[in-house]
Amino acid sequence: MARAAVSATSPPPAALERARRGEPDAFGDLVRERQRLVFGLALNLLRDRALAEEVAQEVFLQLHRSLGGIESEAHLTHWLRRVTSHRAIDVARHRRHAEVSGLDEAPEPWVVRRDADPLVCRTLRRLVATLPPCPRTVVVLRFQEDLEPAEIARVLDMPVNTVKSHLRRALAVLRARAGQALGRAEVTS
Amino acid sequence: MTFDDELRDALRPSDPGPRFAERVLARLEPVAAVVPVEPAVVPAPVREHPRRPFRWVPLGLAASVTVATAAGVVFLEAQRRAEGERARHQVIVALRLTSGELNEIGRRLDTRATPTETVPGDPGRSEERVP
Amino acid sequence: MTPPLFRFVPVLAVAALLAAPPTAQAQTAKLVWPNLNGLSKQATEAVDVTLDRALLQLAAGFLGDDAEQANVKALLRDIESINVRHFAFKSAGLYDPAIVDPVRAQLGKGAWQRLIAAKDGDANTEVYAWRDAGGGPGGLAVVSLEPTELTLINIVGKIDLARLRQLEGHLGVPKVSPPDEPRPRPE
Repeated sequence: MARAAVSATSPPPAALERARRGEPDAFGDLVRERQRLVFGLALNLLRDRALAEEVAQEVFLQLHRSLGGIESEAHLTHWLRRVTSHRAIDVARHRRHAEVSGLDEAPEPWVVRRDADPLVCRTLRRLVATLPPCPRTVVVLRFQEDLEPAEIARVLDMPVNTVKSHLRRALAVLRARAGQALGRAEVTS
Repeated sequence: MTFDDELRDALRPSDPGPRFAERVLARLEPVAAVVPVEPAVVPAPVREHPRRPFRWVPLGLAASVTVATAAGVVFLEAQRRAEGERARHQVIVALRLTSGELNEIGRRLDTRATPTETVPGDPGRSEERVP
Repeated sequence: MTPPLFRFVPVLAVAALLAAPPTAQAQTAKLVWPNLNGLSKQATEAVDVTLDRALLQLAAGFLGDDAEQANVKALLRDIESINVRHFAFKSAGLYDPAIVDPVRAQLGKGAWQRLIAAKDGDANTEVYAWRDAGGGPGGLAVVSLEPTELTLINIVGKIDLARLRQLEGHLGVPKVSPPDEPRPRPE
């Protein structure tokens, strides 16, 4: 297998670079590097593991075809977020029946953080899933990917003010519903 | 923890599992998923007759059938694996929902002074009292 | 907010009941669901799990050998079937609670015994256990009605609730430690 010559002080070439060169196994490494982002986004948007898996696979297949146009790691991240979001929104809009025979939530990592309340997490995920596709995507990009509204606007091809409006209204709805569902006073923070 | 933090926790991305990349790669190169097999070698017949031209056709046919059979076996195995994974996921869903419901009952019992109540219209069977 | 702790006593009671000697009965622990397909049209989320013994064994074959999944495998060993229907709705009032009346009717017969019922406003959850006659598998049923969620669970077989408790914190199962026992150590 051809390997790039590297000096002792430089890091090994990233999977993206190797995949663009067509090195064997490089694309597999690239998928492993980014699968959590893509699948995680799809699952948070669709709340259906089988559909999320399908969307995630399609995204990587499309990536394979589009590798030549990806210029940098940052570009790759933006590209993956964008393609995954758009595909998931399309799927969410076309779903007529939510009846599925699979996971509605993916298994959590083996170690659960002690300060995370699984019941609260589960409730919030369900509530996010009740939002319409666009506001749902805005919320997920904001809180899964920690994107600012301007960046979300670029990912979704949406005006920034629309993103902010979606976010503001969605959070108000989520806070109110979380308050009811979890038996709390309405959360204001 | 703020509401925003709780949302971040709730929306923490999940991993699709260790074999996801393999499933993607299999779709990229479906032919590569076929287990390579040596073409079946048809033993040479005992030559009782004058030598005849070597028969490529049955050898090629045998090779095709063998490869097709291997591909079929791989396909069936992939189907079985998909079904098994799906069943595994469903088991986890079911156990999560069951535990979640039991946990929810515990939460409600914890927050109420009189934990057990008879549901209006219920058959009136006796139930375990929760202290 | 720390997760609420599940009461240990009803867990023990359920475990005892599920292992109790049988009394002669004709009905089985397998419930028949009413037709719930219409709910899917209104639901934003729906789960339909139907696993018989064969599928459970198949699933067990795909579980790993680490401690958590070994626990799940052990749990599945004595389970005959798992049936779950779960629906989530965008708002309250999108389903008629009377739709589960046929299920309650079945739970009022045979060897079903209601163990726990908890009402909280419009939310109502009940847990039933099946005491089998001839030493056959037991069963568990959960009927949970909330304004925006409906969940029906029917597990046929011997359910080891101690093992189910051991799943807490793993596989996404919420922690449900009894108040008087030390939490299980992660392995």
